[in-house]
Amino acid sequence: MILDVVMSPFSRRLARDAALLLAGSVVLAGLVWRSCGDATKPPREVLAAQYSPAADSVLVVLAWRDRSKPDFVAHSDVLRSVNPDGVSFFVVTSSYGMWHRAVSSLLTLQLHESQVRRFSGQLPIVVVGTPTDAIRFCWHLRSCRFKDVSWCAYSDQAGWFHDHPDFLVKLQRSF
Amino acid sequence: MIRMLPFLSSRGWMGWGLYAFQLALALLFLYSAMPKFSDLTSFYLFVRGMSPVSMDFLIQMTAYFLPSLEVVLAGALAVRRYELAALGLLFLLVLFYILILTRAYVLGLKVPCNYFATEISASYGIPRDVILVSLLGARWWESM
Repeated sequence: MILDVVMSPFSRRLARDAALLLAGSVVLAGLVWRSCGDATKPPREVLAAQYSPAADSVLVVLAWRDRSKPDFVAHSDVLRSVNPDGVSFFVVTSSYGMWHRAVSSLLTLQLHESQVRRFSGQLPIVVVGTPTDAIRFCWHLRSCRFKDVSWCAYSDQAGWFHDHPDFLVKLQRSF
Repeated sequence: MIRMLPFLSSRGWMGWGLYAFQLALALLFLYSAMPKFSDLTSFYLFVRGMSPVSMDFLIQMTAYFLPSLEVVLAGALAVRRYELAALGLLFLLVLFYILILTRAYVLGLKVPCNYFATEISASYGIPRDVILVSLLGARWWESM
């Protein structure tokens, strides 16, 4: 009975039409890919962005998929030693929910007025983390809510903060 | 004009009414596909965040395929070619969206960026898609 329905001319025609429509969609997707380029790759300026010591104030985002990694623990320990309250830095993973919460937190950051003013303008953001997570998050910030962010640097180097003592001093000043 | 579209002349006013309804559905899906095409990066990030799988290649393919599918199916509805198949596929597509939004709702995710021009939450998207899937189902049933 079921086989009769499945093999009926009506069902076969329906399946053939559906296959044609799906094939058409694949062709259209391929054409868009070819004409627009790969929109899923981070833009060059995000990949090339580097921390600039010239910035007055910074906001730090740690982007680690696995928060038990020694690199992550080391980086967050350094940040905690600078800012014991842990208010002004955010830990994000590759989870979208975490990204969203981080972006929301960035928007509603309880900083004093001068920092809020600076933040709404050109507050630089440093994202430190694994290449995949840090670059993706940087890119997410740029393409999503923070189009006016002057730059969003990233690094995956272990001990990055220790290699940039000027950064820590500025960070301390900004709290 | 009517001679060029025999399905309308044979069905009279009822046919026109159903066609207008179907055209509205087609326009809705075109309207939904346009922001995705115009900002593929944001849509890719959206799919990446909503996806239960982490295979990047699959997510990239999905980001390009979904708006293309919406455009092709909307076109098929508008010109009434492969109509039943298009309605069936749209029905399945919206069911898929409901599943994804339900998962987002359970996990407490929201849809950021300018997707659909504004920030929407799953609690709004699920009832909207349930209404849409009901309309598609009714239209599909009527076409059978």
